Amino acid sequence: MQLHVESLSHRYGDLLVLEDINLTVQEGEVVAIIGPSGCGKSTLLGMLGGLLKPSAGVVKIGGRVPESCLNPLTYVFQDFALLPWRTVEENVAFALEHHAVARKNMAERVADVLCRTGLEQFARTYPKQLSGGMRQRVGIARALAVNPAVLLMDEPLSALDAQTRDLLMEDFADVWLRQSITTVYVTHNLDEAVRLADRLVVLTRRPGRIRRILPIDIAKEGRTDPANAVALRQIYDEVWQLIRDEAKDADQELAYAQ
Amino acid sequence: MRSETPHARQAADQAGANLVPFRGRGFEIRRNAFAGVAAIVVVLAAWQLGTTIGIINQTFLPSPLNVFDALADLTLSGELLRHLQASLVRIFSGWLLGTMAGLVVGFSMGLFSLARNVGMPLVSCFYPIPKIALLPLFILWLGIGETSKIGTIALGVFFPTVISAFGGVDGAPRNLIKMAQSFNVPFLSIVFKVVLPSSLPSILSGLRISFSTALLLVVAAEMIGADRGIGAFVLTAGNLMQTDQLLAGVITISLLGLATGTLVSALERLLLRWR
Repeated sequence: MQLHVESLSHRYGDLLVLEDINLTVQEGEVVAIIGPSGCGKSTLLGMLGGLLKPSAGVVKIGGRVPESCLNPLTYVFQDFALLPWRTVEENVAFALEHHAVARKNMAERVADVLCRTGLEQFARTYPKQLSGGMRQRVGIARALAVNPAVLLMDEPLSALDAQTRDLLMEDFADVWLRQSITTVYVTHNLDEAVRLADRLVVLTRRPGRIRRILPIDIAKEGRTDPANAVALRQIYDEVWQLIRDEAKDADQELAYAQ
Repeated sequence: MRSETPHARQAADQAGANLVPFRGRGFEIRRNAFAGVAAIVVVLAAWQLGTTIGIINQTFLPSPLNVFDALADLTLSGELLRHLQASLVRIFSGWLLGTMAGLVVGFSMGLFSLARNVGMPLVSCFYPIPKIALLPLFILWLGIGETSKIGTIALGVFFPTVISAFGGVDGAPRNLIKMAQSFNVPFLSIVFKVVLPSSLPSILSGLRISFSTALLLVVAAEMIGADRGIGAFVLTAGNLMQTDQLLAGVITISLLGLATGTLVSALERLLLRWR
């Protein structure tokens, strides 16, 4: 499935946060959206999945939705958004319970996805007993359980400490690159973007506009290969140059209420 | 790297280094279950002693043992049970009515703009009225029988329930609702699987308030116009200067309050285990 973004703008009251975004995400592609804080990255993601109504412009989906897919546009949230009164397996089941198709083999589906995300042992634990990294695994498991056509990831690793983040990123890259699910990955972390994306979309600071779109031509499986380190570093530096000054200015801006 | 050498320690001693004083004292409460029991025993003992040696006039404040005797007699004769039963029926029907209506209105106000915009000013207007002041009006409308008492209790329970249910629903985390929407979970499922569980802590603490309101109102209503019920019993005992019976009635009421409080705590432990 493809995602077409056509002249999308958004304002909160008088405040313009996103202006004239045009972008097409191809089937199987991983697009990372990167930019300074407050540039409207999360707003953009909210509109991509229909959780937020754009002030202007449209988002369209193209192509056929695979039959096995229960929820074409599926989110993974920065704060995990787990139901604290449900165990890990019940949290995953939450995404399936209202689908008659899934109810027939619910236990198998849940067990399968918990296995793929390394959570088998934690099926009966409550979120508060888990570390941040494990909680986000549950968030990812829940998203994978519905066989999404497009994954919309809103800074999925931002709430984690640096070590957990690296560990989860590698694990997760394994699970999800293998399936080549179309993904929009919002982050302010350049390392994640350079590790995971086929294309980088760099936004300007508020109001967010597309500053540059950079393809990364190195295969994702080879990104951890030292032979590619220099080339990846170059991309990293190039993007950092682009957003550095913006980030500095954004940092000095007064916060606004959303 | 190696750890600190003995040389460094010697050097510090020679330089006349001082101890860092401990400044983190206080602001920590230790548990002592014995203290609470001891306090109650001391109060009861002092009271008993005061009546025995005659400092306290038994006509106005009978000794704890006398009160206990009265309580035992009333229980055995079945008189207390008769009054208790009448009160319990009123409390339960009034409370059930008020809670059901309160939950429906509170949830509607939490979920729908129209209900909130209409309901908020009304609730703010009526909530501060002491409900017992409306009993005479209810008696005029509904007669002196059970209906007016139950109505007063229901009304008294209704408002705190609306407020706690509304507060709970309003405070349901937006991110969880968004999450549910992002998985296309239907509206009613979101209400029952996301909003209801998140508002449960608030609803249960509202339950505590509504139980004690119901207790207060049943006693007051029975004092105004009833020949059966704990409130009526306490009032009659007072009029006849039977202070031991009066206090026995008061103890029954507080036991009732204690029982409902324990019930809510048990419910909280059962339903909010995930916290």
